Amino acid sequence: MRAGRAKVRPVYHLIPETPPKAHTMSYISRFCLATEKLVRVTVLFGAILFPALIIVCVYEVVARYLFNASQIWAFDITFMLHGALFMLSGAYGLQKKVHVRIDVFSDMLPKRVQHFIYAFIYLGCFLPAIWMLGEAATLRSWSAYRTDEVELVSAWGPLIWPFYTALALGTIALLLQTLVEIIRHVVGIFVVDGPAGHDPALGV
Amino acid sequence: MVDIPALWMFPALFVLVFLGFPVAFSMIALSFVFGFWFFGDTLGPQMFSQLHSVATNYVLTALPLFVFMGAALERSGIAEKLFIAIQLWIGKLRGGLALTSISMCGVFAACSGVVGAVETVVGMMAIPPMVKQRYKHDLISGTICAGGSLGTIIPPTVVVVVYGSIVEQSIGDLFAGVVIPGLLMTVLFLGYIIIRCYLRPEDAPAVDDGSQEDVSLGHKLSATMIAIVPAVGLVVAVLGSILAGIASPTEAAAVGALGAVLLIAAYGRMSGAVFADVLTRSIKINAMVMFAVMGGVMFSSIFLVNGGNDLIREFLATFNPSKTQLTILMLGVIFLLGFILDWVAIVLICMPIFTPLIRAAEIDPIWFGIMVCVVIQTSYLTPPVAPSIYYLRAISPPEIKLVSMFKGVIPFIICQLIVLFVVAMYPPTALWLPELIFGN
Repeated sequence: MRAGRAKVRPVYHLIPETPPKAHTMSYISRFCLATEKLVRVTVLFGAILFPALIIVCVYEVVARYLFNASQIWAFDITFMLHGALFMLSGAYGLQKKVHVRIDVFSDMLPKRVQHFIYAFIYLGCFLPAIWMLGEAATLRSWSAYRTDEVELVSAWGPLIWPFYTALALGTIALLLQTLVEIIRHVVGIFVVDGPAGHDPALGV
Repeated sequence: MVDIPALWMFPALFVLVFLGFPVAFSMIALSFVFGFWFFGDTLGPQMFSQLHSVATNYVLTALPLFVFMGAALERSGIAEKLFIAIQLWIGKLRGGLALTSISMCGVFAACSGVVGAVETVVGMMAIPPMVKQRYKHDLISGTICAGGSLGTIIPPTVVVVVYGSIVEQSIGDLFAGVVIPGLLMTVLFLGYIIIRCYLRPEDAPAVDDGSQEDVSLGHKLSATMIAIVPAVGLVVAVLGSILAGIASPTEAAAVGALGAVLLIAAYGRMSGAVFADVLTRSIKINAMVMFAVMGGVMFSSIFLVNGGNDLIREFLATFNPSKTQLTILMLGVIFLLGFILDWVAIVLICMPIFTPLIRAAEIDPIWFGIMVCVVIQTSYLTPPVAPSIYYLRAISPPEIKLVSMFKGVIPFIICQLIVLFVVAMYPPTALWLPELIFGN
């Protein structure tokens, strides 16, 4: 495999058109990596929220039974923390390919065909879905912020915009990561890079 | 019929899923395509309200906490201790290693709600000694896969949390309901191994090096105390406080998560790296399941507004199935889907559609839920898309061939179908315990 790649290299030097192309590729891949790094910031928020979620729940149990003082905010904080946690980890989940897919049939297709299919579905159906969702979430959190909207589930009635903002941020991060996936798949249609069998964009 | 968009949603979903597009994203993508057809530009706020309903669901909050508890227990090193302790008691029986594996899976499944985690942990410990003892390869594969499948049914299981949140049933009721079928299944698995090893001792040669002959009772008891008592104690405390109504499943799971972290510390394994690893894995699994839940909620709501409601009403009016027929039909669909889809997808695609049918036919949702859990377990074992075999291949030596894996899971699938039959024919197996604990 290595020998095969070594043989390819001189060919790049012989054909003058290839170096600029390789240049473009490196810009694209640098853009993708930078975006992914940015996206991972959101999951850091999630990593902070997770222990907080545990602590809040345990605190509520302790307060209720030991001090006989149920916390008025515990219920709302609990679901808000989790809602924010899962949306903020959405982009990371896509990046790390955690989602279940049935690959027994698609593996029989040539790699380039797979890349084409996924680029098409992500661009045609998934990206617009997340776009609409992100737009709605952003508008919603903005209007909640401007009108000082409070949540109506419990008697506590906290301001709702921080929660909505977390949902919106998570959705926007997911949108960016989807864009990266699309770019990777489009690149994958034209360039088969990496050693055989290894293709991060397809999760193998 | 052709002009009802809902009718096209399922074929479209299968196309996307079989093309290898992530299941959760397939459902979100199709909600957009078909939702846009119905709502046009107002789809955005509509989708946001679905997201909002998932993000504010208190029951689902239990999910990352149970996952975290399982991941933490997995890293606490308790698995090795458990394996040794159980082996001290039953390792000398014929097929002792296989019996140990199943028992171990039973206990560990109760610690960890995550499907797949149990199989990997137990398999990595149990496969090498079984291969060394020249166990038949199909027995090894079947044992590990079947043991892994117990994670779906022995509470606390994330399957039940997701089912309960969609069908709007109490998680406590469901946890209580799966206890007896779960135990019955473990017993059947053990029974199969015992009978097989009794009839054909050459399939599982006994340990003959005499190393385990002289273990004193005191040593056995102390090993058991150190290994089993903290883990089982934690699980009993978590489940007990849910069943006794002391804490909500979410709160109990949080206490369990904290307890598991303390257990890692008690075993002297806590470090920043371990904590970060547990956290990362929990976040990943939570993202996976929650996005599937969100996709499922979006997909089914778009299905229903796009004419799915009418389709269901029409179906009921035309065929007027009896309660039994309807139950068999629905479980049959889940069973068939199990050949190709995994549990998250099955529960999320089927249950939103089945829930109105269950309500209309007055089928007990707890009883039905327990049967769904059992049927989903078979999906975990049935080829071609058997997650259990997928995990097994990652941890087994190359000499164990795929054919013996396929062959090995068959007897265990039969055991599962027996449990299904018992629960179906005799509903108190599922309903007696919840009624005893919670009343009607």
